[in-house]
Amino acid sequence: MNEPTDSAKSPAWQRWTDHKRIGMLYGVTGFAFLLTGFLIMLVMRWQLAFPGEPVPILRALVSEDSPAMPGGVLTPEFYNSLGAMHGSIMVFLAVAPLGVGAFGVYLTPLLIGARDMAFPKLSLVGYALYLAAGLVMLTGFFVPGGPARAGWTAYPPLAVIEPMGQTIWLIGVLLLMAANVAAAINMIATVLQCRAPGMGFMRMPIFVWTQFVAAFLLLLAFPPLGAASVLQLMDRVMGTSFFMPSGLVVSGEVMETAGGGSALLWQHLFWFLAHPEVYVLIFPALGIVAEIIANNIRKPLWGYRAMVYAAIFLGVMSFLVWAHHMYLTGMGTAISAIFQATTLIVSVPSIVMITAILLSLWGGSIRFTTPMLFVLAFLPMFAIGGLTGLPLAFAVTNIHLHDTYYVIGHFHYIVAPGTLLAFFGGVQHWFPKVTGRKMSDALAKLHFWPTLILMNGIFFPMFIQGLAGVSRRLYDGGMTYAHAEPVLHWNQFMTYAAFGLAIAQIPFVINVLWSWRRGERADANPWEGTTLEWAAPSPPARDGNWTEPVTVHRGPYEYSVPGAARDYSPQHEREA
Amino acid sequence: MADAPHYRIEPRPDTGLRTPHLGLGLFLAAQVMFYAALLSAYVLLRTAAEAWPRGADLLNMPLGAVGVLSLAFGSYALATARQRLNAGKPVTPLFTGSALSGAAFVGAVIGEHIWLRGQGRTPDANTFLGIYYAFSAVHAAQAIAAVLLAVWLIAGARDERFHARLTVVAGFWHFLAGMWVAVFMLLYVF
Repeated sequence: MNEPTDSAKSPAWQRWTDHKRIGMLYGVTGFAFLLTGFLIMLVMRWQLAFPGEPVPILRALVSEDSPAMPGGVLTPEFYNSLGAMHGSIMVFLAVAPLGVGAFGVYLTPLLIGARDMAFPKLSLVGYALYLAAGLVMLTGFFVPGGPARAGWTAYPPLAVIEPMGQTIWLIGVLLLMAANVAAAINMIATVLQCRAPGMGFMRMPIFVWTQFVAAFLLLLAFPPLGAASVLQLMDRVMGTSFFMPSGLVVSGEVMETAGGGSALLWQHLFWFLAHPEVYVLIFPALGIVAEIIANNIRKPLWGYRAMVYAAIFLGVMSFLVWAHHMYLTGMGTAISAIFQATTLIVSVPSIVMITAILLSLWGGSIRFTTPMLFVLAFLPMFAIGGLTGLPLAFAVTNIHLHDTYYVIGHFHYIVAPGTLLAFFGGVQHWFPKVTGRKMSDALAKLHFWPTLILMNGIFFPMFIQGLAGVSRRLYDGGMTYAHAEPVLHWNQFMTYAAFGLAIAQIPFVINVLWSWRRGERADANPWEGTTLEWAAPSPPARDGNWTEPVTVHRGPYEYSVPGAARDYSPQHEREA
Repeated sequence: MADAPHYRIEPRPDTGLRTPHLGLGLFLAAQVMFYAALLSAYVLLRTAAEAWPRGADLLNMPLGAVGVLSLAFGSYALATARQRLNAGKPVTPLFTGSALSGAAFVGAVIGEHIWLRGQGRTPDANTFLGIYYAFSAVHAAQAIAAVLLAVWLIAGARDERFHARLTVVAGFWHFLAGMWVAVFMLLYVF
């Protein structure tokens, strides 16, 4: 299953299908999109803090008669475009591909003792489709009317009557569907078929389980959005009315469509993907956190089996909660009641997973390595994100909070201070495996502390504004509403924090670039880990990862085994 | 990685699965979800509609029947090919038959679209016609892929993976043919 091969036989093209190279491509591309989405957010935040004032730097780059930013000032329409593109880029092109692409494709074969993904060519096809989808979406910036501006949720009827950028967005989503289905098939087949001898399911690291479940979510949830995108594309291009109700009045005139469509139909199909997609953003982070915690507490994870079953249950339940995004649509109290119940149920396995990780810390000989700092910070951030979701689960409170900044704060705590902190920790943790060198601890801490503080500086005031009733859809940050007045000053605070966060990422970039070339050399197992990737050379062998066959003899987290000579017993070593 | 041991044509002992068959099964699961979304849209729009036309009154039944028979023949030819292959008989004519029948399906769909437009029955005329155009266009696009796969079987190497390749392509064809029978019943008959 993982026998080394003669690298001389490996043709050059084949190296492009190697999971390590594909993982790196996902990493670089995902990070580029993350940066793009972040820069878009900075422009939006400037507008929210200083409505009507020219955006610094951009003011010098755009002309006075620019349709999107005349004299460097955002138009309301372009603000909407930036909002739609920020969400689309961050969810579809940055965080998910970093989690299931960069970390998933690079690490999963290593953690299960495989030589590559089950379908190496499909890996490359999946990546190419993802890249194409991203580039297509970005071309929206260069067409008349600008990119999509009906939100990342693309709700009709607005999305159907928007300019051409929305059509481009839909084509991008269709490409993304193909990319994600290809990647998901590959991940599931890899985990089922490519495990090393002895790697039973209950010996797989939690990271692998989370990737496995996330792949099922992508496989089964993305196609419905693809189908919905075909229908919306037809509504826009061919004049059909799948999502267009009869008698729709736009700008004072009745639209000439056949009518008879349902705007709610799109919302159901969209959220059938988009809620499981949230778990696609979270699962890889939980997997990373579990691995780093286990390695740094020097004892087995508490409740391994409970975590596995919780991940599977969470995956199944994530398909049954989508309409809690739609309480405000008037879909009916009976349906709302059902989705309230399922939403409360889905919180149980999430809490089981996070509690198991938290309890694992109890009694451990904790090593406060820098990756550990990141994942320890993940825990309260994820908890804030999760617990602030509970009031949103109930229709009665959701109705008041749904359109406010409270919701923005809630889900950003999950995916920004939550998932991204886990990713930064993951980069730090596996950097020696990828490069053979360690990252600088000093630079990592210089990155960590400001990042943690400034992320909270951006997102915590959103709860304050949201509870005060400030709408999350206002181009001017709420300055025209009297009830927003007492909390309006937070807009500038959040914007300064956002610009500070941008500066705080400089040490990370320097650290990666510098350490790649000049970092302290690391041996194959610098963290004294137990999982299989540490049995491979650093970096792993170019052809097939391993220099000798790997067999698994024990569970993934056998730290501090009584009677053992060392405080870690790697999976590939025979029991004494 | 023609000789890569991680690509299992034979069943893996603990899962009992062949890797290409598993890949096909997962792909078809995604396909089922795609069509399920289209079908749920159909059901929701039809139940909410004040009136719903009879498909037989609007669509071209003979061309629709040609489409069903084309895909069914292509699917049957590939099912037969496996038996002939095991018996050591030539199979290329069957693959050619599948490719041609797939092309016939695409031709029937294009023909029906042209005929409908000639009758003034465009996609924007009503939701039923919109749904018909959506289903038929999506299915024709998939049929083009199915034709290319049949050509791949004709032109591809007859190596140790050929059986697995045939199974995967045939599986995709069977799904397309079966799904179109369901769509035909839904749109043309009921």
